Amino acid sequence: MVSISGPVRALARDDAQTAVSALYQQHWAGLLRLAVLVMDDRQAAEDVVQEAFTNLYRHWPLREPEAVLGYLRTAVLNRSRSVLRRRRVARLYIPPHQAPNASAESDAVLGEERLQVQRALQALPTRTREVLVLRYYLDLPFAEIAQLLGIGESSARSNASRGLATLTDRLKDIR
Amino acid sequence: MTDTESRLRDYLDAKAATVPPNEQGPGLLADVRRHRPVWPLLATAASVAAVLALTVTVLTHVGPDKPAPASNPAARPQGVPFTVIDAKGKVTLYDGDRKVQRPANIDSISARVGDGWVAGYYKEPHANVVILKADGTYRAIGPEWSDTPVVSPDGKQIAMVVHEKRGADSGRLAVFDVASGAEVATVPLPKYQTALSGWNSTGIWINSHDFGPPFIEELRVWRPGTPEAQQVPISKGTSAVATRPDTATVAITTDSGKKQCIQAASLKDGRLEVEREYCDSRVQAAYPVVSTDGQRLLHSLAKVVIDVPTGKTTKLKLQNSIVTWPKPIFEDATHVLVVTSPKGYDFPQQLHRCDALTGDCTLLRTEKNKQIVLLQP
Repeated sequence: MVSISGPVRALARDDAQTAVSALYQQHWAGLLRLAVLVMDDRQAAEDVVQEAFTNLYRHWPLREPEAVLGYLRTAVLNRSRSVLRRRRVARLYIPPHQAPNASAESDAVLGEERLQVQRALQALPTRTREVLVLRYYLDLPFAEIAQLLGIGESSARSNASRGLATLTDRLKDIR
Repeated sequence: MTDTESRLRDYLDAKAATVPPNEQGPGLLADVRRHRPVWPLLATAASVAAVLALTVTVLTHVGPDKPAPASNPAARPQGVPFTVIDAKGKVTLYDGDRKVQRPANIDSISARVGDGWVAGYYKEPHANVVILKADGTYRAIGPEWSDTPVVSPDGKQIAMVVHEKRGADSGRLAVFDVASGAEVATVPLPKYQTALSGWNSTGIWINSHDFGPPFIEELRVWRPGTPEAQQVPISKGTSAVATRPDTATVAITTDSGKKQCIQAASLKDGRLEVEREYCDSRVQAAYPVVSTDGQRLLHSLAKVVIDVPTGKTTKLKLQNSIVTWPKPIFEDATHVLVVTSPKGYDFPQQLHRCDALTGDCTLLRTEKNKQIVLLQP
């Protein structure tokens, strides 16, 4: 008896690799930017994005291929949140100000005004920060933000509103 | 659009632009972690180890994979244990004449206790606080879901945060007797996620964040046996607390947005009384390190030692940057051990002993491509 499961599976894997590699080329940088904005840690962001694609490759094909970018964004956000959650429990092992891969060079590029925003943003709850990044960087509508984060639309709106108010207060404080 | 919205968009666009749009990843099938410096992995692993748990019974007296015999490293710091981590994550612990190969599933070795060291056990999905012994065996101490252990000034007890379930934000602080493993005291913790900064002659210092670094929302101190942890008022922008067992001094980092400072303070009438403040606007962040007697602080980014009673500063004579995390450590009142590297986070790494009074430093060890991590004695 001859088994054909090996070759068929191998062919399926080839297809998956081709398809996910194309998505990788297309979306890697954008997803890395999203993760960097949420975590402020380039190195951890790269790991998170890589894990998201690896997971996509494992589960390819998706039932809804058109939703692949949403799937990847959600995966990146979920993993970023998980990293931040672990980090806050173990903050004794993490530098108080600098993310592990933060560099003087990248901060110098930002300048003092932006660093103030960065600090104020970092001090927000993770969920609120995610909402603000999705709204003000990706310009996503609240309905899509809610879908990506698995929360209600009203919750997304209130997070954005509260986050902006807190940012305003904190930026006033440090002026 | 409000001013805040404009500034937020501007910051997000600028920050995102640090990743060029045409930058390519390492490839779908690449293992991106393999080529990284080891310490962020250690930090991540330590954090994972600190969060998850394993039952005490399973862990008690588990044997090592390959216990390593004691040996004599050619050069080592006096009195302070340290680990050396190679590019593959292999960790060797040195403490005096003792040399231990870190067993599988053991991570976040943090401090000496009894005849061993406090560490974390992690094997998905389990983890726990353990005491690692010189022969490579280890035993669990405390219940599941415990993290951020700190050792009492007399070395006989360990305090840790005990979470009621995996990943829970709330929990309690519990103290365990090292010899018997028995829980001897406990107190509920506030709602925020909590970690322990240290245990000194004043008590156990507890800091609580809302969500993640950088700023501490609440600071409390608890003397075991008293009914509750006392809240200590702190200013907005307090982001780090450090202390040593044999002192009442705590060092804190403050950030007003315009200047960042480290302060030496002690608890007086329920408040932190600042005895000395040092600010340096030229550096982004300050990482306070306290001497064993609490009389000196090291500002590691500025490479400056501050004498708390007089305010006198001593610049350490080091060419390279100090690796600020994991932190340097004083081995006594006047000598501090620091790890340096060309940029403060790269290789080679060099371990120095510096005289806090003169700034003179002696090279103790060089690791071309390995990371040196100093532990609490």
